[in-house]
Amino acid sequence: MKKLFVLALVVMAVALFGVSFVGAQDTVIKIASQSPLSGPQSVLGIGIRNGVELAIEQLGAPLTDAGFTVEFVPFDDQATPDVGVANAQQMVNDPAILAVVGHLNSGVAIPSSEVYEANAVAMVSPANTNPRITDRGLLTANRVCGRDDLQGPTGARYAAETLGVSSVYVLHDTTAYGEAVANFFQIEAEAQGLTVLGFEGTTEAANFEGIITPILALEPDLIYFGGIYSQTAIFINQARAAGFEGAFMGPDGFDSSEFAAIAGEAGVGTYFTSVAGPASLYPAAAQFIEDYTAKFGEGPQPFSAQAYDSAGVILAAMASIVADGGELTRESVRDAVRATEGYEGLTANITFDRNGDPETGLYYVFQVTTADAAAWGENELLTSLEIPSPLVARGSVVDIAAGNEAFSTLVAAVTAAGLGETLAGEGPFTVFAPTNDAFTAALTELGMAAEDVLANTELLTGILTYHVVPGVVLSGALTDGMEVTTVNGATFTVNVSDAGVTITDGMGRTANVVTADIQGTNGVVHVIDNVILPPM
Amino acid sequence: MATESTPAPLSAPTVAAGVSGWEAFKNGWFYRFILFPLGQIFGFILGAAVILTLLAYLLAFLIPEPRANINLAQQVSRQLPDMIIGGVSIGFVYAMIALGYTLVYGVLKFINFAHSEFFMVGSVVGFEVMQRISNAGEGVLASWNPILLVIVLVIAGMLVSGTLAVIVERVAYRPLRGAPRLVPLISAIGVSFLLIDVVRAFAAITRNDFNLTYPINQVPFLQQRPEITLTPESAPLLQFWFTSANRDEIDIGLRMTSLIIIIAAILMLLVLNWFVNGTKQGRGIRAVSQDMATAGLMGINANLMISLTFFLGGAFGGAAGVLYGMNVGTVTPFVGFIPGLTAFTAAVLGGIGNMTGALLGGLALGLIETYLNGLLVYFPVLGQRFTPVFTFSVLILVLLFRPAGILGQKVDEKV
Repeated sequence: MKKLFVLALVVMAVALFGVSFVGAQDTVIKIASQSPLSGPQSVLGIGIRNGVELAIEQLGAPLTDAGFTVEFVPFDDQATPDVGVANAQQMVNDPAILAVVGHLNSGVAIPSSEVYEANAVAMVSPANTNPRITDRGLLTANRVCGRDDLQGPTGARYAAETLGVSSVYVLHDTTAYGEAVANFFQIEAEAQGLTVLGFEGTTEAANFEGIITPILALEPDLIYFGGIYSQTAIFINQARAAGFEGAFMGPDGFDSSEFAAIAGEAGVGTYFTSVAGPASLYPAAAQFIEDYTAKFGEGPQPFSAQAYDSAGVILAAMASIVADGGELTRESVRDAVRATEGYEGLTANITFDRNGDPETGLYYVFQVTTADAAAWGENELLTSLEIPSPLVARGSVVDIAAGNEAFSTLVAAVTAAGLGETLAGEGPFTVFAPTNDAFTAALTELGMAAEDVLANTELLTGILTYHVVPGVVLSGALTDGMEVTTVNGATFTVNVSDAGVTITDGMGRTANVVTADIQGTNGVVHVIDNVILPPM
Repeated sequence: MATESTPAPLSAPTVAAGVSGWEAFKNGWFYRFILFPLGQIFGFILGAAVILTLLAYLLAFLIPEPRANINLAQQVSRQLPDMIIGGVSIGFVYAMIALGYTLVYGVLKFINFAHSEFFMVGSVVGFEVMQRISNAGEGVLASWNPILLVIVLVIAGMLVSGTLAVIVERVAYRPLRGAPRLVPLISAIGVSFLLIDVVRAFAAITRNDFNLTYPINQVPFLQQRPEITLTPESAPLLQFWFTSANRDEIDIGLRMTSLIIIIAAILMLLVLNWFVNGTKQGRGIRAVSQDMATAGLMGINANLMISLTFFLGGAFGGAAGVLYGMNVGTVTPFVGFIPGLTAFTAAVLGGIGNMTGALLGGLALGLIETYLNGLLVYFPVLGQRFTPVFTFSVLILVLLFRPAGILGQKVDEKV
């Protein structure tokens, strides 16, 4: 009897705990962060974690009022791609984690975001600037900061126009971030007429003597180093000690008080571009700085305010789902985050474009004015620019075609068929755009005059809609032998080989994809060298 | 530095009747412990620099313009002083670390893969001591005599790293002495990771920081860069150099910290040579390295000699760490990895187990690396990131033709 009683107690206890466990699972939602919490870049990484923690504490009210418990799970990606991916895999196995704020390093964010994408976990990045973060067209990858293909050129233009330098030497740290931003700088520098004396990658972390020697012999006016402060500040220190007298410039990887601590006097006068100003730059962030300092005992680092905004975007998206009576799932959060429009953050008013870039990015050029780490926030802001994201700058797929002379026939045909309004609409579309030469060749082939085709709306519409595929299909998603159904209803076959992508149309004719993945607000344009025809 | 194969007599040699004055001089301490090793060091530097410079000009002759608007010969001429000085200073750092590998290999026939961490610990200790002096008050650091400061830092680094090496040997290697060779090797790798993480934790707890920056900027002396400017008037014999560099004057500058590395390394190498080849303890170490069991039978305390060897190796690594740290300015717990690996390569290149070989290997590798860095930058596609490829190709080539290293001797396996 006693045994039975004990047994009953145990069963009851198990049932009770089991139930309460399941019950808790339903109301607990978790937001993760991924940033380097240890290692050379931990100062920035911890700043990101703290920003998210503060945001969840301060902005979580609409969710807690609705009966949810919002928990924060910080992960340490150690600025290492492998660790970031491993963390991401661990993260997606916890069904309560709905979204993540991260990372600091693009090289870590790019592979990790593949894991998020496969599991529909929304990522909002406070600091990743590599174009590939968003250009892959992932549904989950967003950022609140700017892009390297606009940041690098901003620096190059400033160097050429304002600083008046005539020669530059470009270094990078061989990471996805550093190499890309240095490359964008180099391209714009050459376009501005500067002499690029060298373009070198290095993973050296301490002794730069051998790298500096040829730079001294080449005597550039300016050294651009696409990299992070933990490496670049040491380099700058040694280059000055070795007698280099020109200027230094770098991307937002320079932006940390540690830069001043490491580079000391040698770093004073260094220029750096940024996609994220210090919190003190933003009038709305005064309270944030106060709260942050009170909670963590030190002032916010660069990207802390952006991390706060990233978490804010996620929380606002969740709150809007709850307010509409929707269910909080990874998918619903992912879509709501991407639909963010006019979110009033500390650092910007955030509206994501179709790929998750802020529609308007803010780009700054700063000059280091201090060797004192504590005074880092007082660096001089030399200029700030508002630059639209590439998608917004290019506009709709119709705008892309209209902006290029090579598509004038296509534009005329679309107008004649009355499809212009549809293609400028919501979308999204994938347009295979034949060039003018392709149209000329096709007319010869068909033995028709341009006027006849333009007049025959039915034929024209049939052909043009055969060039449009619903949804966004980027070149990376194409596989060999893939059958693609067009808006026309008919299909064509895609062939992928080492030589490139070709299309076999309904008449057995082929066309080559000349330029792929020109992305606009409502879709993507692939340029082809032949008009494709539906089966007739 | 005499090689092990020719152990020199220990006590001051007595001049036998009928021996010429030159023989007497040759057996005297001045020649054996100062003139000969100094000559060796300068010979190595000069030899390596001359060979590499000729190769560089040969390359410039074969490929005069590797890239548009780049005249390779002109660039080589402009970079020559910097390449030699940079190569020699990093070469001495490699040599000092390589000595640690080679000394331990000499007595235990095992590669101490934790050695790079003794170097790292030395560089962190140097920072720690300097920072503490600086923290004592405003201007305290500047009020120190800079030479004394360097000596204090180097000795602190040597003592801590040397002691650490002795402890590591006692704890992680001695219990495994009879075990198969792979076992202590794995243990060494484990110690290496342990030390990195202990220092990481230490830096995180005490300083909440990872990048440890020497407060060099408070010591103006260490920031100096003495410079000589050569003009065709002051150096008429070097006219060809001005012509090929296409310059009216050539600045030969040397960072004070590089100069300190070179001077300190030379002094310490002389002392080490004297210690190993000229003292009773040194004879003990050499005896143990030749045959541990027999040395024990002769009344030598083998364990003590092994501890002493580890102390010497660790101390040299620690000193190299401090000097390197002062030169690069900022160190981290990961700073030991690359120099450690390169120095190990240098030891193998020179002939592992052979002290002169470690010196030669270190200097040669430092110079090769610097020359490659200075030249590869002008070649499209290649660039400096390919430097290690070429450096290690040199190693492979040397080992193909001399498997025991440049100065190593083929020793038949003892049965």
